[in-house]
Amino acid sequence: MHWYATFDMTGSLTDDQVDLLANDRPSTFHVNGPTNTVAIVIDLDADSYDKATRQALTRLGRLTGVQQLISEQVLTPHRLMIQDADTADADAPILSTAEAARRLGVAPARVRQLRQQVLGFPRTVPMPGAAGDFYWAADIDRFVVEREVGTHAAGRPRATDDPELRATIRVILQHGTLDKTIRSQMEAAVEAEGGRFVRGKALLLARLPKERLEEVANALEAGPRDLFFSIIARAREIAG
Amino acid sequence: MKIAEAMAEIAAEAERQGFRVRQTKSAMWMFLKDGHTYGFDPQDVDGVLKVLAVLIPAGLDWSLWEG
Repeated sequence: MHWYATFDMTGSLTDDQVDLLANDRPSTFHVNGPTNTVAIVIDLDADSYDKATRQALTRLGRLTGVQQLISEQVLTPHRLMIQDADTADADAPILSTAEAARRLGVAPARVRQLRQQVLGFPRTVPMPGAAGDFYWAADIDRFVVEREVGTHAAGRPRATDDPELRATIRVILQHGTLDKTIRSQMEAAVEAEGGRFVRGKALLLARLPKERLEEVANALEAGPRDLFFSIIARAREIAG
Repeated sequence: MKIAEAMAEIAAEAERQGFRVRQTKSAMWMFLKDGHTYGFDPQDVDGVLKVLAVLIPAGLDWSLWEG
């Protein structure tokens, strides 16, 4: 598991000061003129949150350009964020085949197969000088929804196809890293309202009658309710 | 993927779409637009995907790139 540190500071930089910051070679930096802030991201090669946090502090201390700008009070730190790769990359617009495979819950080889066999499988994104295929994240997410609706080849219907629940809002959770307590609360609330949780490898799909969504959301504690609404908002975005 | 070549292509497309591009003395790539400066030092394919992940919300329409 890969980790990153994002370091946010307030201040504005001259061209020379930008070069000074760039000398440290962070993985990325963003000088945001309109908001007067500067953010840098550094890669960490720790494999746990604890190691990542310690490494972040050590490595930030070694960014001599940044430290100089801070001591000169050109930049003032206001936030340090330690994130794992899944969290940091969750909104990436373009996915590698490996990441697309993770979201679909299949092996990368299977993605290549689906690409050749399934009509309507997401198109690839041209990428300069690349071996391998890349996909728009929005297309992969939409494909996941469409598969569950049943626009697939003839054959034995899936256990998850249910004509009565067809006209429902599908709630899609990506990355499947829901806390156990939250997940079982959501399951209980969904099932109490006549919905159904369907678990794939990387996804949880909840089908709910539209008119019941509000009641279900209210049945959850404050924390999970916020999560639930943000998942619904995401599903609506995908459905367009 | 040859990172340098990929970045050169991204830079060319970004310039076509209104970004100013330059390299820092430390060989980081910088993209400037509307008062923002985005700097990158990608080491691998994932790094290049992260460049696009920043530039696309910043206004780069990658679907316009012709391979």
